[in-house]
Amino acid sequence: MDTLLEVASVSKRFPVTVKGASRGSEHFLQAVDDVSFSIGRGECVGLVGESGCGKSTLVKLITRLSDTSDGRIWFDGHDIGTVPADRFAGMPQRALIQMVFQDPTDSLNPRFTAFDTIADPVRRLGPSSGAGEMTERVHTLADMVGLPRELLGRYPHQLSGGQKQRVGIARAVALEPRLLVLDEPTSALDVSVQAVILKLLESLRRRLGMSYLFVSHDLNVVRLLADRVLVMYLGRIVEMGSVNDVFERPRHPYTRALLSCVPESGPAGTSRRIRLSGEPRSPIDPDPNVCRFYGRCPEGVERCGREMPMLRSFGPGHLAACHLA
Amino acid sequence: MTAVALRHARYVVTENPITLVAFSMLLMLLLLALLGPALAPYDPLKSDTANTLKPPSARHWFGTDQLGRDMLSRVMVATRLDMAIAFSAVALSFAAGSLAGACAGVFGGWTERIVSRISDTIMAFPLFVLAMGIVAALGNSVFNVILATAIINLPFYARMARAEANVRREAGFVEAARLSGNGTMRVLAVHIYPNCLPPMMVQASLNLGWAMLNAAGLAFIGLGVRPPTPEWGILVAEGASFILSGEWWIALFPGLALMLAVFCFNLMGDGLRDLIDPRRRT
Amino acid sequence: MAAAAPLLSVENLSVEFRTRDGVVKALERVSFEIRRGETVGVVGESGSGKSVTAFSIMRILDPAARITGGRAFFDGVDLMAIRESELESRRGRDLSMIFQNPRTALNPIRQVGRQIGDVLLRHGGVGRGEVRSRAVELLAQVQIPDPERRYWAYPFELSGGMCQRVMIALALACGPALLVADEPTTGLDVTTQAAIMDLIGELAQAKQMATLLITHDLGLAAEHCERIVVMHAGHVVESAPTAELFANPRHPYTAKLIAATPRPGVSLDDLAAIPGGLPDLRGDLPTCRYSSRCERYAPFCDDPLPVQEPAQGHAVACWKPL
Repeated sequence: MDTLLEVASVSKRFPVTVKGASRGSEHFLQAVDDVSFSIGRGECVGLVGESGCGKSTLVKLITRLSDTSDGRIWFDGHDIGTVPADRFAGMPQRALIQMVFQDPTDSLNPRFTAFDTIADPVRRLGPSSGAGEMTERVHTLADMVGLPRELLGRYPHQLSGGQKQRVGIARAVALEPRLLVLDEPTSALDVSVQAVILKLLESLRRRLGMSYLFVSHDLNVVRLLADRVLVMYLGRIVEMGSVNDVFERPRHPYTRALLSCVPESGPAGTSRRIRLSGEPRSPIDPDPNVCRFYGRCPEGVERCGREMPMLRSFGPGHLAACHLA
Repeated sequence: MTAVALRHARYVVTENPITLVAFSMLLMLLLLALLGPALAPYDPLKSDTANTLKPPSARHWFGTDQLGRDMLSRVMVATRLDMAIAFSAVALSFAAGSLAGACAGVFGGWTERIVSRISDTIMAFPLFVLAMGIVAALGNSVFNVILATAIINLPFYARMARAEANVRREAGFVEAARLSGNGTMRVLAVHIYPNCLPPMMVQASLNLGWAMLNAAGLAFIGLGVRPPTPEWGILVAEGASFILSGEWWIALFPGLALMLAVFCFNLMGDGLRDLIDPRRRT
Repeated sequence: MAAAAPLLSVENLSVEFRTRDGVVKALERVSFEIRRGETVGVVGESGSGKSVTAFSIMRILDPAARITGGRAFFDGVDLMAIRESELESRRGRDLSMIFQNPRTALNPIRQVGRQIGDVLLRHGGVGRGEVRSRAVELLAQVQIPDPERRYWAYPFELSGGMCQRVMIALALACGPALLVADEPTTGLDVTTQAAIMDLIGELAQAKQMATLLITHDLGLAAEHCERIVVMHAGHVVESAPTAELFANPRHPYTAKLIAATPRPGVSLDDLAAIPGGLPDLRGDLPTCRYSSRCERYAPFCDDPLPVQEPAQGHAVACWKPL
């Protein structure tokens, strides 16, 4: 498979102050820790994990809204990690990596009409065109995402959740990006609207030949669209593989616990539940030699406390980072 | 777009009777400010020694002062100066303060530190005393009154803008704007700054009343605008010495005018915000 | 076997909201029952009126709301008819509620242990001397680690999941017979969600407490509820035991809702969207508020809806059920 995005050993640290620490000591919150993966052309990769796992930070790094602390990012063969985030707007790759946001209300400028919102990226990064061509382009995009043209003159507060999300999608695909990051695009929408939007996203992907990075906490939704899945925990990737491999034959205890908690249509769910005890480890100054899941993990041996498990293969494309898998 | 804006403006004004009253008063004040000298029945500076200290009558609705000048004319003509000072001072303060605050909120670091320290320094003084000091130091002129009033008002706008910008900095649409190729300055100017304004409109309106009182107060104690220029503060000052001797009308009517103007501005606050904030545009 | 009287019986509850743009008929003749110890789920999308129902039962609605009709019998007493002071003494003691956003539902400037203590003092008949130890006991019961220390914690120091556990402890402090849970796990992680729901289930079973679970998540209701009540635009459209509802949905909306919910074994193509949107709840509404979106609509659908079967069976408000 032809690789579009390659992420190699990417990390992101934030300096933090710790209560009661000695003066002059530096402490860091390890949001993303040594993450490596790739996305192929036309592929949809799912990214799952719970709050604090680092997926939001990773998304910001990939979309170049923030800079890495370590590691490299290649997009279409170009090293995009070295250009600072606040100067990335001028790079040719800016138009090719776009994002659809989770909260449709928060992601639209309240003072911009739907038309202005969709037109903005075209005005900033698209080929220079006259007003007529611009209107033409926005109309085409509105049609593509199923947004009635008469709604283009409205402000966000006059649109429903589903309509706002369509505006966000139209904006994101306006420049025909190669990679579209979808950050929980349907979690703020009703189930009935969700189905429509998911189908729209899938048809757009095929039509425009885009690759997706689909971030979601809803495993059932990820299952629908993704080809491959990455599971993150406390900044590290703990398992990755095809959707079938990860969902049907999970290797990492965290993945298994996660899957056991997904509500299914039946009371049998509660009996198969894998309980996780305690709270997650602190992401501040984590010990590089201890597995991040050790302590909460239902399994766990002495080795887990002194040697960090690395990703190893359990089949073609199926990797998990666990000593006991 | 303008048709929509006008329709919206009409809706806002008629929706709430209080807003309607406030806007009507504002319209009247603006009319007086523009046309005061033309509408005034007498020359405000012309003294008539035969008619000094006459109480309100059919010929002189507001009576006459110690030099025989018609009080109604003086109050009407003074509107222009007071309104001009208030609007200029607030406009200056708003522009400078909101820009500084927005930059501080978005950039953080040294920009924020400098803006914050300047604001804190200004706010450390009793504001009227600071205004007095500035006018006394720079000299008695209308411009210096405007400048002094603008300076002491800066911190309020700077703080509000900084808080608003800080919140908006993390918003999804700001990130989306960056993804769309907007550079930092453009994001600030086009996306963040305009969204900071609606909440500040209420503050601006309240400020207008306050700025007017400030200027009047300075004139009352002899700073800034000097007699014989008609200005409500000066008129009140001149009239104050006559209250005890029974000529109540000289101080009352300018005082009333001041009160009504400030009242009008305060009422306008919400109405203004409704006009600007597209969330209310339905 | 003679049926025992239900713990809560909501009959023809109707609620209106007066807004600037007109009167919103939020609920119309909503009826359902809960028995002692039973877990009932009220499922619906945004605008279905499920939260309004919960708030109406507890009578903590917005001042712009008016209960225009109906009764809610709780243990023989009509909650809609009694005085506020009597209701106040029941709230917290006999029936209590947990809310959607745990961190904002707790008082941010008061330690969590103290908040539990407040409920104990007001309703629990616990003396001042025992309040602290009893509160710590409750914190332990909701599986908060290190409860002695956590007694003194402020809400902002706790994670979302922990705050929700505190809220559960608060709600259960006096052993109420009914717990109303309004979207208790929305916004929480999947593992936390499962843990919280399991906790509620265990405590409910131990104390023979009935639970009314309000949620938009059909899968969640399926896993934890014995009966499900489906709401649409202020109407109850169907109610049935869980397994029965999923096996034989009889209302077209229920069937569509089930078909639109992603679950294992269903591909993207199988996922069905529900056409149209919610009707505007102001102004004139048809008898069946789903009719504008229903492909089975027939003229007789405008007739007044049929009287429903006894609430323990499978009831559906439709002239042309599936």
